Formats: sequence, C-alpha cells, structure tokens
Amino acid sequence: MTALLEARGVGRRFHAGTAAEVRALDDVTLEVPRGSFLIVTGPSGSGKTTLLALLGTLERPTEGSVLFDGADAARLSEASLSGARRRMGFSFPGGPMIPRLPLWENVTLGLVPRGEGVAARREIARGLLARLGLEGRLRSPAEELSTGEVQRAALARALAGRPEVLLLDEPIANLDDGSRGLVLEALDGFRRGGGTVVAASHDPSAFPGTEAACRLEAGRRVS
Amino acid sequence: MRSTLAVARSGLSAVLLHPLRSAAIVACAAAVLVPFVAGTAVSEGLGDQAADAARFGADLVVTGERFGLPAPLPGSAIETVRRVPGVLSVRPRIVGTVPLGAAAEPAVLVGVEAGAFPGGVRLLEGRLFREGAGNELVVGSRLARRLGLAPGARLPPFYRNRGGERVSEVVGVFRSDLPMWEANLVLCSLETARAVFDERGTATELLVDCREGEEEAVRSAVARLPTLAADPSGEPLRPRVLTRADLRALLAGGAASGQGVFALHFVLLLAAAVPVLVVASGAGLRERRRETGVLKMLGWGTDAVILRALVESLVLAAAGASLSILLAALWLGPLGARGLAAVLLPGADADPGFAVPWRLAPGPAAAGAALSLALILVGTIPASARAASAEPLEAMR
Repeated sequence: MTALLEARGVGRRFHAGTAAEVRALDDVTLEVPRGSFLIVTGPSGSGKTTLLALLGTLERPTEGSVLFDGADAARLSEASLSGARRRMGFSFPGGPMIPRLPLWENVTLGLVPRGEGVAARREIARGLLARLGLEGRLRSPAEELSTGEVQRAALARALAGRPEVLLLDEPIANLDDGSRGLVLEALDGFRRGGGTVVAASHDPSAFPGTEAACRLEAGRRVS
Repeated sequence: MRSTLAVARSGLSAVLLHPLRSAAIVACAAAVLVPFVAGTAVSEGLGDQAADAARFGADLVVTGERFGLPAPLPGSAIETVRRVPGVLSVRPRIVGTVPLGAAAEPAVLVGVEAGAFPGGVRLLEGRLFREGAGNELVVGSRLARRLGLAPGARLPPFYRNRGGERVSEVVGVFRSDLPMWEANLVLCSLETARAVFDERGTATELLVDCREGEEEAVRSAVARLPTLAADPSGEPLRPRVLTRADLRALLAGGAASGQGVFALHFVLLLAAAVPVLVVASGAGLRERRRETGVLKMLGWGTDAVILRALVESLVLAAAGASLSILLAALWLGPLGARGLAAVLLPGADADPGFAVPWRLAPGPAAAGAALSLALILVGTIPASARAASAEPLEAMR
C-alpha cells in the first residue's frame, strides 16, 4: 500500500527560542497507508492532537516535513493546501462548530466552495445526521447541542465532503454506548469504502479492526 | 461560478449569524452617515431654491456703483433703463438690513411695489401693506415669533430720518415655504423703505424684464451706459448688471461651494469615524477568527473567506446607507430638521420655524452608500484577511 500521509521527523515547538518554549512533538516519523486505520495513543499532553493537526496541514511543523499523497505540504500553494484539506475530514473535541449556525449548515459548510446547492447540502446533512442519531437536530444551532451530540455532528461534517482520510481526535470519548456504536458503524462504513482513518484516543481497544498504532509520550514516538 | 455564488450566499447568512455585531456596525455607519445625507439634502434643497430664484426672478438685476461700491439708484435711473431697447418692464426694489426689537434682531427690509409682492409668500395672518401707505410692515413668521409680533402690533420707532421718528404697524405675518430666507424678511412699500433708510426717490436695485431673446443685448446696452443718472456733482453712477447666467454661475458646485466645503468637513469626520467602526466590528473579532479557522479547516481558500466577508460587508453597507437615508428623511421631513438647521443655516434656530428646503438627490445618496461601504470594509476586511492568512488551527485557538 502506498502512504497517503507521511510524517518525516516532524517536530512542533511553541514559543521557540524563548524561556517558555514547549516541545509538543519531537522527531516523529510515521506512514499512514491508503485504506488503513491508525490509532494514535498516549497520555494527555503527549502530542496526539498536534500530530493530527500537522498531518492534516492545519499547522506547519517547526521541524521535519509532512507529505500528503506524496507531496510535501510545505511546498504546496495556498490553493493546493485548501484542495488537500478538502480531501480530508476533521473532528476535534468541541467540533469546532460555528455556534449560531444550524446544524445542517455546519455539517455541510465545507461543500459551499464546491458549489453545492442549498437543497443538496440539506439532503446530505439529513442523511449523515440520521446515520449518527441526530436526525431531530437538523435545524438546531450548534450551540444548543450537548458535548456528545457535537462530537457526532463533527464526524458527520468530516464525512460530508466524501474525504479520502479522516483525522479524528477522541471521536468516541464522552459518548454513551448507543452513540459510540453509531460512530463505530459510520467509521466501519467509511473504511469499507476504501477510506483511511487516523484517530487519536486514550483507549485503542475501543476501535476493533485497527491495523496499526502509534504511541506517543512527551511528544516522542515510543512504539 | 456556482461555487462563487454559493460562497457569496453564505456571506448573506453571515449577516444574520451575528445579529448584534451586524446591528452595531449598521448603527455606527448610520450615526456617521445621517448628518452627511441630511446635510447634503439641505444643500441640494438650498441649491434648488437658488436656481428657482434665478429662473423665476427678473431677467436682469441692475445696481449702481460709485468708487466701486454699491450706491443707491435715483428715480431717474428707472427711466434711463426703461428707454433701453428690448426692455419690457423695470421694477425698483429697496433691500437693506435693520435692527428690530430690544435685542436688535437683524431683519432684511425689502421695499417693493404692492403689485410686485414676492411669489411663494403665503400670508398666515393679517393683510398686505397698502400701496403708498407708510409704516405698514408685513413680517416673516420666524421674526414674528422671535419678537412676539402679530397683526396690529405697533413697533416703537426703530429708525430716525430727517422727518423724525415714526411708529410702525405690523399689518400681516407671512410664512414662506420657498425660499426659506424670506421667513426673516420684513416687507413694506417702497415709500416705507425709503423713509426707513432716509433715501428719497431712490432704489437699491432695478429688476428688469426683457423681450425674449434680447436679454444679452439689453445687458450690454445697460452696461455700456456711461451713467445711470445725472448727478449734480457730475460723478457718474456706473451700472452693474447681473443676469440669470451670472446667478447660475454663482450657484455652481465644487469644493469651494458651501456643499463642497461641507463635504470636505465630512471627510474629516469620516476619518475620525473609522476607528469607531474598527472597534465596533472588532467586538466579534475572536469569533470571526475562529469561524475563519473552521472554514479553512474545511477546505475554504483565502479568496473564498474574503469573498464571504466582502458580501457580508456589502449587505451591512447597504443596510447602513438605507437606514441613513430613511433617518435623514425623517429628520428633515416630519422632524423639521430640528437641530440641523442651526448648524447648516447661519442665523437659524435649533427649531427653525420655517420649512427647511431639502432634496435627497441620487448623487449624495450614492456617495453615502459608497462611504458606508468604505467605512465597513475598513472595519471588517483587514481582520478577515488576517484571520484568513493564519493557519487554521492557530485561527481556531
């Protein structure tokens, strides 16, 4: 399998060169083959979220390089980077959502620059939210959702753009068993369609069928 | 094209997404623009009045001068001008200022023949002065109110001439909708005006009507007269002729005109308003940054983010301009330009007591809309552009 995503010795430092410097990630190398399911584990503050953000080109590494589909993200133009992000789906704790926007609009916001019409967007949102047990929340503003609902809505949004890879940060934390089942079912369906998943989680055992795991501790890859 | 339209449509919904922020920006824009729209509307109204005065007034206004200064015209000047070929009629008029009342309120006294009463003047109370009657005054409504005058009121002597002092009587009060400056006038017969200024058989100007198409010929002929009247001292009384075209030239716009100067002052006010709007639009800056970060994470390009903010600004600007025009019309119409007249019209009170002329012209309204857009763009676009050029995660933090 060819690597869809690749990190080569990536590091991320905050407040670099000052007394307050924080090394969130240090010399991490990994490959995410197309169609695989990679779990990134580790304790809080180990750099899981930072790694997801770097792989998703949401941030630039201070060291090393990230490759998406063989192309170095640092060398991509602004337009190409936007194009790359359209091939990915993201979910972070809290969404993040636009608070006052109705849920169906939040879920399909990424389809707007693709020229998708309002009716089509609403239909896509309806289908995805129904799969994740949120069919009754179509018109609710995101700010009215519970933490668990936001988490599922964020997955719906990540899936809305028919991405090639999902980058998910704690996708099943704070979910009851029923909701957890719906999320895992949705991920299973995505994978059956050839999708790639990278998920950060404290609890890798909650994700059956994962092929690989990457464990981080204090910003470094330990396994 | 479809994607551009979809992004633009999302800019429309962004206006409603932050109702408080949008309302604050529109209110700021309106607060700055209402005085501009109202002020330019009054300028337009005044300009219209002046143009009407030029259009409906006499073809020529003839005055005399000595040593380059205005000098009164003797009665014989009327005959001199009347004899010029092409002249249809010559009406003498006396215009001068007099102080009235205990506070020496400045009033413009106009002596005219009874048949030549200015058009547009509407009597509110009383009657007009009688032909040849002395010391009968018809006063403007504003002046009457300020001095507490009504028909039948007697004015203690406010002038002294060779014949001594005279008590004058107010016989009528007029309200003038057009033009507004007539509300401060005192109209009287030529005889009364001559007595007030102690100038027997004279006028300050002659209103000349000409046969159609001969105005220029008459103007040249009058201007070439060596003297308007024989003078015992032998000094010539040189004619000075003002035509409609001359009056219109005086009304021409530009930076030096009243409206231009007003607009210039407004530009300075605008410059002061920009920081206010920046603060108002920046009130939701964190939210806007976060939103931009989400959009970028979802694959929106910087150009799409800017387009969305631009459409949002356009909608807010249109709302600000519309609200400004509406409020200005309310201020000038039902509220009678209360407070504004005193600023724009020298000598007018906060409650002007006359119909302030105004007209909402498309040019100033469009300029108002453009200014509204410029103000809002300055307040919103730089913040959006900064957020759009940041990395998505940084913007979302």
